[in-house]
Amino acid sequence: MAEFFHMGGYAPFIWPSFALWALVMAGLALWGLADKRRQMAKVQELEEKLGGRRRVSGARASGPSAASSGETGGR
Amino acid sequence: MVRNLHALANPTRFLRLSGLLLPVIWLLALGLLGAGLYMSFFTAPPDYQQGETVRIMFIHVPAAWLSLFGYTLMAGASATALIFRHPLADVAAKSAAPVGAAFTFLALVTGALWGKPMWGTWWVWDARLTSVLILFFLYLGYMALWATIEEPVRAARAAAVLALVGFVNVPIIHYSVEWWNTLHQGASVLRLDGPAIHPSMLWPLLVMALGSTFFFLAVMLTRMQAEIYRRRVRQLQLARASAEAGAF
Repeated sequence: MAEFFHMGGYAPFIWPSFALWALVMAGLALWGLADKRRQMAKVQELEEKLGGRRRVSGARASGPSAASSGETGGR
Repeated sequence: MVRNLHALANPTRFLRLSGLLLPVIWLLALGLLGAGLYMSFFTAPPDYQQGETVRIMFIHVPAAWLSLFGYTLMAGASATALIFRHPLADVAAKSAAPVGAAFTFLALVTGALWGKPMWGTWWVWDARLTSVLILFFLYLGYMALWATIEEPVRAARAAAVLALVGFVNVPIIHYSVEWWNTLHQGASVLRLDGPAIHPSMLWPLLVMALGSTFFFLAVMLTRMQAEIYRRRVRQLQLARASAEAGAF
């Protein structure tokens, strides 16, 4: 076991390589999935607001805070 | 062919189709990468010259291949966007860029970590290493251009031109080990006379490469979906703004 982790003396090169690889791969996947989820939620929120206002036609839901909320976050 | 392309061009249809395919692609990617990692450590033997460091090859080489695959995909999609105005082409190009950049980064860093024990240096300014560093900067420049120009249609056009101009670097990277003297070894898998590498190392490499390719596609498709939703958000915000302006 110890011999395995020792990697013939090359452990300081091999393990950082694989650790960085795992980190970057996980980061890519999670970043993409989180971005997708965030954008989907925004679409839903905006569609509800737009749809709701069209039906009710009282422009109640559109405060300035709601209008700017879409500007924050994901690029 | 053109008609088929345009059938896919509908973003709603793309979302539906990619939604069906993505779980399969993610599973393939994770399964192959898991198996590939196992093979890299437990079935592949240490190299008779390089010892255990040869295991770095199993992540370094697929990352390097995908750095070129990603740029080629990005340039191809950019050309499609410029010539055919295909509505998903620039979404594809934009979504491939960060993934390609990440793999280029991995190829550079794992290359340095492999170079130090084997060549005695982290880095040399030779043709192969320098041209790959330029590839990394091209990816960054491409992403910066997208980030700088607010309006998607204009950003897409400017970025596409950059991607196409930068494509000249791709064959340079591939042939750099033949055209110039370099510490970097030549191709040992993609050769006309067949791979010059023992099956006990070739198999783990191919499994890792295939897994990485599926992983690339999975992340890219996920990012494409996110980008389509992002553009819908933009449209809805514009619609909302004009509706508000009309209300007063």
